[in-house]
Amino acid sequence: MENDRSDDRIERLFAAARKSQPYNTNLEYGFETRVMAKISEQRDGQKPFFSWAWRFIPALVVVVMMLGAWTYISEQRQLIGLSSIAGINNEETMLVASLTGE
Amino acid sequence: MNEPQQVLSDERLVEATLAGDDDAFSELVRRYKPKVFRLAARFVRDNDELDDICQEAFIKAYHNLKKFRGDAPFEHWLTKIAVNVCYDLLRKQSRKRDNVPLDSVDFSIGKPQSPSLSSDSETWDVLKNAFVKLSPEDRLVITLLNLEEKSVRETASLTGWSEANVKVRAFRARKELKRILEDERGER
Repeated sequence: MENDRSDDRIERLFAAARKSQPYNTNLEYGFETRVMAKISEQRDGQKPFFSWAWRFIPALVVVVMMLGAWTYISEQRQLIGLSSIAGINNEETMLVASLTGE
Repeated sequence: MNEPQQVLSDERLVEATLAGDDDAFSELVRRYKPKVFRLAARFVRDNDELDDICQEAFIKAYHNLKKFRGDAPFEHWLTKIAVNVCYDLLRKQSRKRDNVPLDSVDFSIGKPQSPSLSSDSETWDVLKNAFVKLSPEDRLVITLLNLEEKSVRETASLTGWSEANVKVRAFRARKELKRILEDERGER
């Protein structure tokens, strides 16, 4: 008996819910425009990598210049090192020469 | 597309969209938005959520349009996507509810705030408040069977569950809903 009554109540609630308008239809206004705008926005965000890769060119130029400078400086240091070794060798030769009286 | 879009079938509009005609998809959205809005409104909490969820359903449809083979009507295919989006939303809501700290729960007494328009919508609010306490699966099956008046077969096809599973879930969901409504009555 109690069960039948609660079944009736649920059925009445379902019937009323089916009849009710669950949302404000004004929301539908311009909906397709919003959807299409979002789709094109997503499409723009998925462009191939080469369409945005050019933005990295300035950074790439800076890296190349720094690499060039570093290579140049390290080469110069190597030259200085070699000449100083050559200088030491020269001094040693002179010392040996003076000691041996040549 | 030279023909007026009103006379084009859904399948032709899908083909045109796949060929790059966005106006064709816009026409499909215009055609089916009332149906998707009506269905999604059974699951959302407010208008913003309704707009978001409907947009998500149509955008998902747009991105998966290549998978539409025309075995079933476009309307059914779209409804299936909308049901999936709504089910995901219910699961998200349910996870959030489980993680809500006690101090952020609104303990105010009285009728919940709702955009009621008539006594029918007030009744809908009663049901909606009870629905919040149901599991996502129970809510989905009751909504499709009892509010959207889908058959067991249709519900099975929309949810991807077997017909036997739909029947079992529907039985349990109804029992649970009855218990919730009785508890609420007892509290008053």
